[in-house]
Amino acid sequence: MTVNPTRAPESVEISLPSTPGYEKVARGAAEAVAEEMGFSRDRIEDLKTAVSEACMNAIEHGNQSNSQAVVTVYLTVAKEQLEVRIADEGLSAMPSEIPKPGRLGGDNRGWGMFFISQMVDEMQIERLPDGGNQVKMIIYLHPPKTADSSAARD
Amino acid sequence: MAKGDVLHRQDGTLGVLDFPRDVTMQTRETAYNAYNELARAKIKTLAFNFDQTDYMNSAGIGLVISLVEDATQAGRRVFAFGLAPHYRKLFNMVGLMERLALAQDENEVKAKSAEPAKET
Repeated sequence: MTVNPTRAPESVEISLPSTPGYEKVARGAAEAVAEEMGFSRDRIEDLKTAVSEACMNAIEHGNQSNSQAVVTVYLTVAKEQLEVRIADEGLSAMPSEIPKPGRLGGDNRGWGMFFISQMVDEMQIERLPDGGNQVKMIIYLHPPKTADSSAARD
Repeated sequence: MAKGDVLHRQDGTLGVLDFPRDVTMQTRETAYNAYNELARAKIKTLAFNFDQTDYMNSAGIGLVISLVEDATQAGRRVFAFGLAPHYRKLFNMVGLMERLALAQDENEVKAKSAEPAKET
């Protein structure tokens, strides 16, 4: 496989059953595409976490862990960026805003969406026309410079 | 699909939890069984061994938070070793780095656990 991040968009589509563990298939595919695009190792690790968390969210919440319901992962290589969309069947609606991270007591879960928001450059939660939920994420090959680094350069 | 149990070992008052390759929701039961065995053995120091771990999701990190909370409340010192840089970053994001001490390996845990605990 050769991926040229400067040419017209190319896409990969993967369908997963809603069974925990299959998120690793999407994680592996995202890693392979990002490696071919030339992403750095730490950005690839960030991407892998974002993809697995979004898939787990789709499996557990969007599809209510119904193994017959499908999670669809789209990886789109565009100019200098990788777009990842993860869609479920919407058996349960996802909140349109990122919930407050972590839950006190209990099992200390609820960090998934927070991690995604910290790992990628852009993130959007959408309700699809067919009723499903979709998490759309974009990670840039060269992350935007922060205000601090621009000031240091000037 | 996730595989792997958490195993436990004891060396004096040090208890070690050996985590598998995948640390997820499915790890929870064997992690608590292993931790409870060590707690019954009245360990004073708990170490998390992540040498074999290459995938830890938010549910797995939530599990680590719960174990650290329990161990800390019981007055145990908590260490982790073998943690990959990416997971150090995630541990930092959830505040775990303030609640456990990192070590390079088990030998360093043994050396550090022999030192008096620092006041926080």
